[in-house]
Amino acid sequence: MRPLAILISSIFLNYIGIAQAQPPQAAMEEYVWEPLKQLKNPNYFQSDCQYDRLAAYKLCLEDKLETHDNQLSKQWGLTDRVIREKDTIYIKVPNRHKPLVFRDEQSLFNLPDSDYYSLYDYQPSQQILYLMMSYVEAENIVLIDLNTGFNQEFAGIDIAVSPDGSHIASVDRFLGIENITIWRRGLSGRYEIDYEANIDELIPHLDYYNGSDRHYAEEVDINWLDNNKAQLDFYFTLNAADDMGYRVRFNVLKTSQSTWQVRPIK
Amino acid sequence: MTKRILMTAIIALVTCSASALCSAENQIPHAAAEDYAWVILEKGPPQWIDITPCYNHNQNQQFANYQSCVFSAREAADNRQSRVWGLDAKVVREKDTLYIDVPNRQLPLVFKDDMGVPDAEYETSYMLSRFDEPRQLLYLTHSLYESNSTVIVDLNSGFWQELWGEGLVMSPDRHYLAGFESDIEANDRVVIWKKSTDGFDQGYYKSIHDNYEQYDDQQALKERYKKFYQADEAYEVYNARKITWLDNTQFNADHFYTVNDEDTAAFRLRYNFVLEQDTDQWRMFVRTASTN
Repeated sequence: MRPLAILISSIFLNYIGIAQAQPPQAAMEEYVWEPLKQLKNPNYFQSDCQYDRLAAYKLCLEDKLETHDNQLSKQWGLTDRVIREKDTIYIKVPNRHKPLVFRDEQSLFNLPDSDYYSLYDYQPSQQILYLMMSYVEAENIVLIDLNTGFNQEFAGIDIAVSPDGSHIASVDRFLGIENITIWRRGLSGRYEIDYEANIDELIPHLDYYNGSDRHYAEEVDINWLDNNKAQLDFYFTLNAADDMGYRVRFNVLKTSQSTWQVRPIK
Repeated sequence: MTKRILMTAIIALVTCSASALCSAENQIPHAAAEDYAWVILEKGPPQWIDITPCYNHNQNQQFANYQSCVFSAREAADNRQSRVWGLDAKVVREKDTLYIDVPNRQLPLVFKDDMGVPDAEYETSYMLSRFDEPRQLLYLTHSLYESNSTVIVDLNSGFWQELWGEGLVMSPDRHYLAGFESDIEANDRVVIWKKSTDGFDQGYYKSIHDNYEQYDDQQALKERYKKFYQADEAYEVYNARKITWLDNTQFNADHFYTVNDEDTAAFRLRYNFVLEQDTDQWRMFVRTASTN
């Protein structure tokens, strides 16, 4: 009898405890809603090729990627610099005689789990080309500076370069937590991690909108307001199939001590 | 040793499979002088590119310098090899990438090293390793974290495939590829790939890994064969391992051992693989120099 009594009372006390610690919840008018379709990068490549035969699958994927990538290259006015043929993207860069290449991986065991690249975005003012690398369970971004040939891969597909190119703000939403990272360009040109937000700093603000349920962000939108301030918008849905998402906004800004700080924005 | 005693030894070697008596080491006779086949080891193309001089850069955190040091070493080695084979118009390395002209592409087929940035811990790289000129088959070695795989490129058609194992060689009728497992734990295993004529990977080579029982028997025979030659007390020269196809249904897998680490002459252990037509399975046999 006794252990059961303890169990019951502890459940009761826990219940009271939760009820008392319940954080304030955002009111209806505090939610900002956006159609998710408009937030999604329209250049996102999704394969619908069937795994029937390896050769047929490869052919299908290569064909679709060739069309997708060469259309974007044309749209961006890059046809003389960026070309896809079959499984390979060829990029003319000043630091090589031959093109810089990105070839889709072919599985060592003939499995249809190939990793592939696709053109994802282009910033003409900064001459930065973004490729998406699709892995079986993740998507990464390769950043390529067309002026120099410099390139670097980042985890996740949500990244934004600051106006002066000195920093990058990124989010890897596939990690399940909204981990915000600020990268700083080093002497060699490579970006190194400068700051990673502590998830504990994000949770109260996320909970304010999401309640105590943990969600995955459906979309992430990152914008630099100036060289010292990035705005990161996470969009969540109430139901899995919803096409409208509500926003949770954070700013990451440089303090007077030149360190980065995350700030929830209502 | 007379021929008769030798034959007894061979019979003991091949017939004691699964017999308890054979597990005792002293049951296996040692090979006589005439059983050994000796070869002078040839100095073939290098099996890896020496990048140790580049390590200084890495320690000093100058990753960009390390990278360009490694790339120029590989560029020099591959382009030298390409020239030796008379392929310099078709096969070129620049920095981290091998560019190969093939008829089914306007732009070259490419193989690019992965520097595993930023710490170079999981670096992988390609290297030109062999050229079968009559058949225009180019073989690359892909160095992975702890093992190697082989890439075959048919310069006549542009067909290419990366396969597990090293030292792979294609059978005369192109139906099979045989080579050596490159996993450190299992480095005397022979791997066989067969061209698929139907199913998901039709047209590509598929590893034959289906008969584990037979495989265990092969390993047991190999162990006894090595004891017979006292090969466990010698040094295996891994780079010298060699597959030689005798015809479409038969190949030799030769391993070489030196008595001293630095010797230039080595004795050979030959495993003979034969495709049994009725079962479509590969059987392994051992031979000695005097019975070959």
